[in-house]
Amino acid sequence: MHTILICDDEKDIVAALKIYLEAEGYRTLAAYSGAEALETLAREDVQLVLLDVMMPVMDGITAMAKLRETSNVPVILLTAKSEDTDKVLGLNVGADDYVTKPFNPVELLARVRSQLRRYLQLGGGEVKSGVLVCGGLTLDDRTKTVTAEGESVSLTPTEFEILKLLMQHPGEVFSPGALYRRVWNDEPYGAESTVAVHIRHLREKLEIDPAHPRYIKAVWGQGYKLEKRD
Amino acid sequence: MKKLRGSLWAKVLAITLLCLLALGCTASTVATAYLYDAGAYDGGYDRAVSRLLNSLGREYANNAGLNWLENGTTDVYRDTNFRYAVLDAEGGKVLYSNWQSENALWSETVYVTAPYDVWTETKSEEQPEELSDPDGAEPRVTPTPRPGEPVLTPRPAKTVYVLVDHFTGERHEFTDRAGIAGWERAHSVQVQGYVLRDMTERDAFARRLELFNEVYGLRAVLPWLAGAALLLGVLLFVFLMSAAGHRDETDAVTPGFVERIPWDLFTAILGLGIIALLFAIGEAFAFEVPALVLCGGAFLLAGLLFLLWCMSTATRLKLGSLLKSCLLYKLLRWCWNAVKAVFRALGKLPLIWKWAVGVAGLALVDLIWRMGSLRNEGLASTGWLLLWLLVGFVTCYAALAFRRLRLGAKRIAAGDESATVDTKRLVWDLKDHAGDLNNIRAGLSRAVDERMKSERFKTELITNVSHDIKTPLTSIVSYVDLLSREELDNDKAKEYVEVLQRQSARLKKLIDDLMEASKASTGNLAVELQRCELGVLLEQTAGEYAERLEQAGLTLVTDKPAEPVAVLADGRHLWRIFDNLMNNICKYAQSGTRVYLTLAREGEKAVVTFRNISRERLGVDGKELTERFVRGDSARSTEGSGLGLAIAQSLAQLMGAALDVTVDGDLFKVTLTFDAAK
Repeated sequence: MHTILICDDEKDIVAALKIYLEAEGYRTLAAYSGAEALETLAREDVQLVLLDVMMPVMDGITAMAKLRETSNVPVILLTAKSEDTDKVLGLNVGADDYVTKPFNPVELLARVRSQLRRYLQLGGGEVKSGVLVCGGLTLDDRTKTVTAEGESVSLTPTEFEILKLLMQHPGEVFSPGALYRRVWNDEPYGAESTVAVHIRHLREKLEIDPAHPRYIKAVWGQGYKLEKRD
Repeated sequence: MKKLRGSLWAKVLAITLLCLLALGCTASTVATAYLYDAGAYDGGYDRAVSRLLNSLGREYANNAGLNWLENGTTDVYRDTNFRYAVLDAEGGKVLYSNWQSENALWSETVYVTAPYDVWTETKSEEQPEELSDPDGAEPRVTPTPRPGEPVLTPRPAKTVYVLVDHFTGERHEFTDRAGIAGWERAHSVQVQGYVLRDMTERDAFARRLELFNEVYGLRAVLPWLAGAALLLGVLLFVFLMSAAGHRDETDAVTPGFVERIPWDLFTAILGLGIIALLFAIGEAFAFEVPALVLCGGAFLLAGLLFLLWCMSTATRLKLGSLLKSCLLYKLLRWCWNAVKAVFRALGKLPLIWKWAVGVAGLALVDLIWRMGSLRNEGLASTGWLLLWLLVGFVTCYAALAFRRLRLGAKRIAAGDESATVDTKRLVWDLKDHAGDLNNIRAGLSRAVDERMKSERFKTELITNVSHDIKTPLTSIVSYVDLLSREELDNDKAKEYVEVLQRQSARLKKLIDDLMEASKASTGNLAVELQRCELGVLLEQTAGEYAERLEQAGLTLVTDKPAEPVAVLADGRHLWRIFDNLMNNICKYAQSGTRVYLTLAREGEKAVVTFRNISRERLGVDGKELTERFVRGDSARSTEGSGLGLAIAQSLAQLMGAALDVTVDGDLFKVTLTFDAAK
């Protein structure tokens, strides 16, 4: 059983999160300020922290900076700020993921699972040859299998080929036309939008929140790329 | 009428007819006037005829008298209808007569005196010595009045009247007026002239009478004839004026050969021609058939010229080229253009040069004036030079100061907040003005600062409020979700929970949109312009929305040019615009219709259009739709925040693009216009 620390100044939100997480079989601890969270962390063995950013006494960012001095426990930030700058700030200080309020419970649970799996199971695991890895995504070209956050995902051959190409060149932007030529081995002749359809399907299968993808990103007006993640 | 207007034959016919009518009208008017003057309408035939023959008859009688007086010639007008009797001056004794008391058509008595000259002469030996008039030796000629006129004042006894008979050349001297009167009496006759009623010869009288009889016979019709001819003539004239310039059946007015001549030149030439013709008519007019025909012809020609002028003028008026075709107008225009060109050239000169040229010009004018008024003592003297140097210096100083003010104002106008006008070495009003400009600048930057502050405050307020709302909203969303997972045995409760879920989701969306709208409209968003290919974006959009469009029963039709069209834009914002617009289409388009998404390059612009057929009636126009919280139809209030289009427009503006919404019936069209990247 994994222990999750929930830290938010809003007691109702802490209670709600408790219900969700305990229903999934996790043990939960509650803290209502950053200082309290640090105290609890020092006492208990915690595998994951859900940390609110805006809190009195000590805000989430400060608390996390303190926390990171001693521990590398995964931290998911809860934030009401949806601005990109805030997210970037949070991730830079050492957060592993973020969820914007008001959150979708399913999404939150998926992210919690993903972080726990990476922290506990994949951490330091050796990479087999012929297997492409990007963050929580793995692609085995020999067995033609793909897993996302540890769960096996079934892809069509075309989707598999697209994902393979993107994972082979992480961070590189492919235009729909270029993707079509590489995957279909043919000139698109105006069929580029099929690429976009396949990309969307891939996102729906691989991403926790397809509307805000973390792996397969669209560079609007240019093409698609796979975000580099370790 | 249109057909007639364009036909050449109709015009020629009308002109011919008009000439005839003019001639007829003039002739009948003249004839009527003559007859009226002669009293033919109230005095009877005889009186009119007698008036007609009077001038010629008197001329004949006078001539006959003179002939008699000269050498006693008689029966001068042998082969005419003229008869006469010569009587002595008192009229008592008949000296000669060929009048046999027949019936006379005209008769008159004329007093005829032999021609002579009278002057006074002063004898030189009787002239007093003291009078040293150098002209005294010459005879003093004084024209003597004809008999019946007042008698001259009596002369001194030494003066004599000298009379010379023109017929004989004899010289008579008289001492007083009575002698002259006596001579006159002896050399005068009375002539009684008659014209036979029953004419025997075809002489001038007969020809005149014939003509008169013709006219007299028509005297009742003539006024009506004149009136009718005038009326018809006016109608024809109006037709010709309306037909002027029309060549065929079309309505267009076409200029002809004549219209190429400048109007003023044309008017002058024709005017001179007409005046010359009228003069000629005045000179040659007589009551004789050849003269009348000639005059009529000349009159016709003048009329034709006038008609030509009228028609050409009418054509020009219709074309609106009357003024423009004038030589004078062209000349004035040329002058005006020249003046303008000079002014423009002056305007391009640097300010200080403008002033310098002005002062130099004034100095030159002054110099010329001085030379002209012969005040040479002031010309080019030291004083004059000094004065103008002073004027030049003051002017240059003023120009420099003005230039400084001008540059400062320009910088302030361009929005340069650090612009200040240096008040050093400026005096009086110039200094005050510079100070005022600086104050304006300070006021402006203060206002800009305040505005920025207020905008920032607004955005901050909205952001903070949104955050504060989001915390309780998180609880609501979470607990409503938890509630929906609970086993509820009450169907109504389940239904209520669903409503709560739906509405809390909507509230969440609203807050997000509101925040984004506020940021986008105040420009509080980071914009990273990158090269974006709109063609690729179109494909991406089509792919993203393929399934949603299918679910909504819509068919997407995309069209883009073969070559890539790139713009500079922030990809994420651009996608947000496309996303919002496509979202709207999925929500509001009539299912079963086509949605058109087209990209086109129009010169330097890249244009993307979204077109769809609205399901609901659109009650507002396109402009209003892009305002916040406005939706096409109030019935849609269950979905969306009404901010989608407003956000899209703000984002487009942020990237320097334009978003226009047009509503044409049920056709809903959004046009995005970008500057195409090279």
